[in-house]
Amino acid sequence: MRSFGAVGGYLLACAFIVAIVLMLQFDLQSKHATVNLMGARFLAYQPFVRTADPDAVGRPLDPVNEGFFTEPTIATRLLPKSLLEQIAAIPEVRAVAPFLLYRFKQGENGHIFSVGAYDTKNQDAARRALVSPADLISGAFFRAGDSNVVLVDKSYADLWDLKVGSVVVIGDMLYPVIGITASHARTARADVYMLWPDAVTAINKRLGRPLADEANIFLVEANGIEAAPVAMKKVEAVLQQGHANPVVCMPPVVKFMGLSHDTLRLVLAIVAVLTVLFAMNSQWSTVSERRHEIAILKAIGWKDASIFLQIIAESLLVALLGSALGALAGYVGFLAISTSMGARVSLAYYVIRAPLTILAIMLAALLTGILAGLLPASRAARTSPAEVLRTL
Amino acid sequence: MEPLLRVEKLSKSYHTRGHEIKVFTDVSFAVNTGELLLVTGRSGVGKSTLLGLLSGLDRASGGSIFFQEKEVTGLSLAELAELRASSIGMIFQNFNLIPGWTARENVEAVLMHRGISAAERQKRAVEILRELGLADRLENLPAELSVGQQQRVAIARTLVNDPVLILADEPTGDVDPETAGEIIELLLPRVKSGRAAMIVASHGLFDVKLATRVVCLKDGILSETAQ
Ligand SMILES: Nc1ncnc2c1ncn2[C@@H]1O[C@H](COP(=O)(O)OP(=O)(O)O)[C@@H](O)[C@H]1O
Ligand SMILES: [Mg+2]
Repeated sequence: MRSFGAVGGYLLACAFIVAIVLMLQFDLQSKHATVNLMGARFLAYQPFVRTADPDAVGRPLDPVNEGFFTEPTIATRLLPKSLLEQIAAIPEVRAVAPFLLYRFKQGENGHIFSVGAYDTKNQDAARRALVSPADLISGAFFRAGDSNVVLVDKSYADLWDLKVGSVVVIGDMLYPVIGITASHARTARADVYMLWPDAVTAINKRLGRPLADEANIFLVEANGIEAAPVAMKKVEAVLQQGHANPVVCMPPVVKFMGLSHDTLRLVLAIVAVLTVLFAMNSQWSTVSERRHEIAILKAIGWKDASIFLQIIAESLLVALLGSALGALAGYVGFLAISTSMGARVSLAYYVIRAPLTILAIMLAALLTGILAGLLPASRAARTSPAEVLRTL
Repeated sequence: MEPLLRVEKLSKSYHTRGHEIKVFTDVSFAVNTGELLLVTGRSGVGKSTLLGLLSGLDRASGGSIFFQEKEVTGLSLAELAELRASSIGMIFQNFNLIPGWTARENVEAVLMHRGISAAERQKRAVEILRELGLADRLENLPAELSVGQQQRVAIARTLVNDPVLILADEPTGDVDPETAGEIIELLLPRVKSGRAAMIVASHGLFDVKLATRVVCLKDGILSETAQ
């Protein structure tokens, strides 16, 4: 009554399922974390074609090196700040802030850097999408009444050895650095952050026409990740009044997460079906091999029900043993792979979510064991002992 | 007094692919406790078929079997199984031990699923195996035993439920005469002491002198033979 083969089958199937499921879960969790970190935020702007009307980009005095752009090097048009209200009116949009991102070429040493304008009038949105006190590494954030002070991104500060209290030269003006901000990924980043009116003043000196009430980028936050694609479409529609073409960064991730979800379900369904079939087949062949044995048991007085129960119990035992060993192997495999990839997940995942998942898989395996045992067991119970014993 | 087993006008035919094979018809006999009935006949006359009907493993096509004054031909499969488990012991030509089970487990199997505690089952199995000289072979698989030892395990399994009817299908068919004699020697006391009746199916080599009565199956008819 010891069917190692069947146990091995369960072991493999279960190990495979556990490893795959944990891996996909883990993958999804990481993506979720990334998407949540980035928030449902995106940039909206209108790309500028060089041959178009130079007024649309403010007629920069040095159009080769300077201009309004968005990452990495897309030239953008200036848009009326009044679009803000239209964007804010979209139900899927939680917050929106205007943004000016201008590339400067500094005359003295000829290096290029970007200046971002922080709009205190849309402070909430600006803080969420652009830069906030939470991003500070040292120094202080912009305060009410500040002017002609700047925040500097850490990577830029490191490049020029800037510290809190240093000064940066922008155009012909000196600006004291009041804070250094972290360089981690955000919706939008600049090397130097200036308050909006200061930025407008500094940029205007480089343009052939002064800025009206304009911005080249809108920083938008949608009502959650799921709402983001809709929000993006609608914002795009708003900007399309002027041939707008917002760049969207989240949909691929969101789509990919959907893909992972679907893959997960598909893989699970396939493996589950295969496991049932495999288990049924192995139980079936065990029963076939054991026709003789079953006939003997019947001849010595076992009832059909006893035979049935015996087969089911064995099927269950095999499933239990196989899935327990398999779950263990799968978990260990998952740990090995995930740590070797240098992935780190919350402890809660390892001690709560993963074991719960494993438990669910094992329960499914037990169910499979019963299911797979039903048919062979009833066949075993119907074995006609007289015939089997006569042929021996 | 009603005999332990009475068979009346028993017949059996098989229907295979449209045509009927009549194995035997109108078989009638009776066996009392303390008797050994020997059923002889050439191979293929239906001896095994007859034992199959008597044990309830197979259904008769006609006639009746009365066992302990009870008509058993109409019993359900579960009732027949219960009857085998409680009152009938069977021994086969090739012992039919379960290869994956130890000697003790093979004997215990008869007592399983009958509400007998594991401890009690084990006690009874070990006891009878001891009586048969297998005290040091309890946990061995059949393949690890000599033919003679396998035979004694089979006998232990036949006797462990204290059967009142022992059915033996060619018990001496496959073994040397000495071992064959041993089987009968071990089973016969049950019969001679009046605790059981025994029916032996054999196509020839069985020692007729041991039998109380000898009947012969031929051409589907059972007839008494003069001793
Ligand atoms: N399931 C079956 N279907 C058809 N014929 C069968 C079946 N079982 C046995 N028989 C036939 O019944 C006859 C008696 O067989 P059996 O009882 O095994 O004979 P014995 O034990 O005397 O050698 C044989 O001719 C055999 O071919
Ligand atoms: Mg036979």
